[in-house]
Amino acid sequence: MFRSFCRRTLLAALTAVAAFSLPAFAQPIKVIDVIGREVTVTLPAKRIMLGFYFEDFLAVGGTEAMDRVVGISKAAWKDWRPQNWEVHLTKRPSLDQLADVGEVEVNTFSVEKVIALRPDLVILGDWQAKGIGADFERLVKLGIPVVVTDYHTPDLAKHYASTRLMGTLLGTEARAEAIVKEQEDTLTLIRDRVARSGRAQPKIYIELGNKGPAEQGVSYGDYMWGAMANEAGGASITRQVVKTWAAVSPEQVLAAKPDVILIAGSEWRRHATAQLMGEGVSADEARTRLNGFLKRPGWADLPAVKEGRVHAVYHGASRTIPQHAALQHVAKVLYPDLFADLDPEATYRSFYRKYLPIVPEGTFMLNLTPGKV
Amino acid sequence: MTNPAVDLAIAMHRRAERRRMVAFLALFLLLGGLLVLDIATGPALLPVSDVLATLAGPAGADLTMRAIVWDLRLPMALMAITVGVALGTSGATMQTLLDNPLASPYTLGLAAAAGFGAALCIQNGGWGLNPSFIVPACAFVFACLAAATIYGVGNIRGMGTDTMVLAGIALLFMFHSLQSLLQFKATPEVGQQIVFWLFGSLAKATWTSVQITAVACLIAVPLLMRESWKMTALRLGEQRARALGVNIVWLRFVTIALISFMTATAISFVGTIGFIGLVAPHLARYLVGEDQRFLLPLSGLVGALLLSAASVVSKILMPGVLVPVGIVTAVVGVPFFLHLILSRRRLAV
Repeated sequence: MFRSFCRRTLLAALTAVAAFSLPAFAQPIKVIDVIGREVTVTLPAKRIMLGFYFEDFLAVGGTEAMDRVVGISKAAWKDWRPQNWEVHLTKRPSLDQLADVGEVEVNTFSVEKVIALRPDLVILGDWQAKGIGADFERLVKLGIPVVVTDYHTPDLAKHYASTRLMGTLLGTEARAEAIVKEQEDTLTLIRDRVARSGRAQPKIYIELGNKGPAEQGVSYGDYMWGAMANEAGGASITRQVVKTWAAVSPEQVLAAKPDVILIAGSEWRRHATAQLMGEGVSADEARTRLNGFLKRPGWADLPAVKEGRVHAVYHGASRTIPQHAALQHVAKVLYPDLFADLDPEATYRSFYRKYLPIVPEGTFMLNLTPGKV
Repeated sequence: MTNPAVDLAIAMHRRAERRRMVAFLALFLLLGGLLVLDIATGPALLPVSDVLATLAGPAGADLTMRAIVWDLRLPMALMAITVGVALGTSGATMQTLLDNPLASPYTLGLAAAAGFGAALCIQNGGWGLNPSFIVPACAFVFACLAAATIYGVGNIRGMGTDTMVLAGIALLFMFHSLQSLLQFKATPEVGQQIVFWLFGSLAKATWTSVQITAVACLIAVPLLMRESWKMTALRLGEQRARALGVNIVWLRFVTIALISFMTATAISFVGTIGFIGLVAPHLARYLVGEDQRFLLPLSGLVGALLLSAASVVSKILMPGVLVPVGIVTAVVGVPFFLHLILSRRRLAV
């Protein structure tokens, strides 16, 4: 308790020192972004265009960092995680007034709007950098510093690099380092325990529950949840047939006889049967939806269902820094006895308490049987 | 020895020609107006006065304004015009040549072939080459292949126009299916890029692509104009054209080669923009009739007008959002076109 207090004070002090000393370093520095480009940025950046990874930006830079943001890809936050957006809006109503540069996947992204914002730093997610194609080069040619971050990749080293990069850019290196350490420690602990146990890998089936039981949602190869299953010592049954993400046919699931099933859910309230998880979702309603998946043909005979090893996880806890909490959850559903001491949902909340202006309220990690993990 | 009837006929013909020239000029001025409007509008919603000032005096403007007006909006606006000219002229030539009102670069599968070429290239990461060069190059090659196939099939079957149209439509379906197959196989990010390409968007325009497309038009349109007399004769029917001494096989070969070159160049840079190539010739025909000397350039002009107008609409439909122009051309254009067909009003001057 005392130690954590000390650490937090120290962190705050470091952040304060960094913040005050910034103007003294108002000169161009060179950084390497996560796709290996060398970018020259003049710090502190005062007009930041932030494409994605909004909470991660806030976590690394603190709320003050958001004061320097002049534009965002609004739909990627407001439309994709509406509940999360609403909660952030209560803390910072001005978010709604930020310029919107459009969203890459629905083809509304406008390079003209980005340029018109006169940004001195543009931060894009790797999928956006790839998605905007030639517009990326346009920004670079105009001399606008564009850096790329990536928390989607299975390569965790790039997650850490993204965090450290934002730490450098926002002048919060110490805070970034503390965040990376927490993630690394989690991974090390999980790897060590699984390796030491020497057990056979349980077979796990992971599906995105956005389509409900009636339709097969996507599963993962060595990507996102699939990558996390690998890290946590699970054998994903879709690993051989799916590269990044794609739906497999129902019979493949039955034939593979998974020992564990994990359904990723979100605040998909507009869908009547999709897996509900996340902000404002109660454990009861999440369980009701999860039970719906068990009624799929043949599922009653699957080992995972017979042994009650069916779980749900908040999809929003992937591809973001507190993914280490989701990783704990995946490890725990695979090896309940090895990780009985972990409380993934508590890890998730404590990360928010430490680094973000909001604390999520709802259901983020769930077992089908109440009271069991 | 003058024949009063002939004199009268000639005088009336000259008068019709003069009126057509006036129609031309009027549309030309309209296009100028649309060009300015096209540059004045954009997702960043900049003040129109600032945009015009930057347009008039780029040297005095600041870097951001200059980049937006001169490097983004102007190439886009000029691209709308050049692509409109290419598609409109090609559509008119195809309709005349194949004696089919449904013929256009889109309905005959050229655009679909270009789309497949681009998708294949994107799927393979451009084989390590610069995407801004290799993607259009691939699209160009496949559009030309499609044109050659249509021509080849027609040639085998004795140049029957119906055969060529059917071959074109078969190609359209085949390349659409191949596109879908590539999209199905692609990873999500790559699939996204393919979808964008297929959408058809002027936003991809750069000074280089505008220049290349303009050069293609400047080569192809005058050469097509040289054949316009022969094509007018063809409108009277193949037999009569032959009787007038037109070498139809050669005419088809030359014109198909020219329009393939021009449309393939245009669509390889902007993606699939349907409707213009089909409709611009019909609108032009309403205005000037079948005289190919007027129909060809006017189809190009109307094509440019339509695409410029669609570009403006795509920017003001949802202020601040750039709707892909390929969507606008069809959604806004089709009801208008249906109205024209149904009212059957002949505007010929």
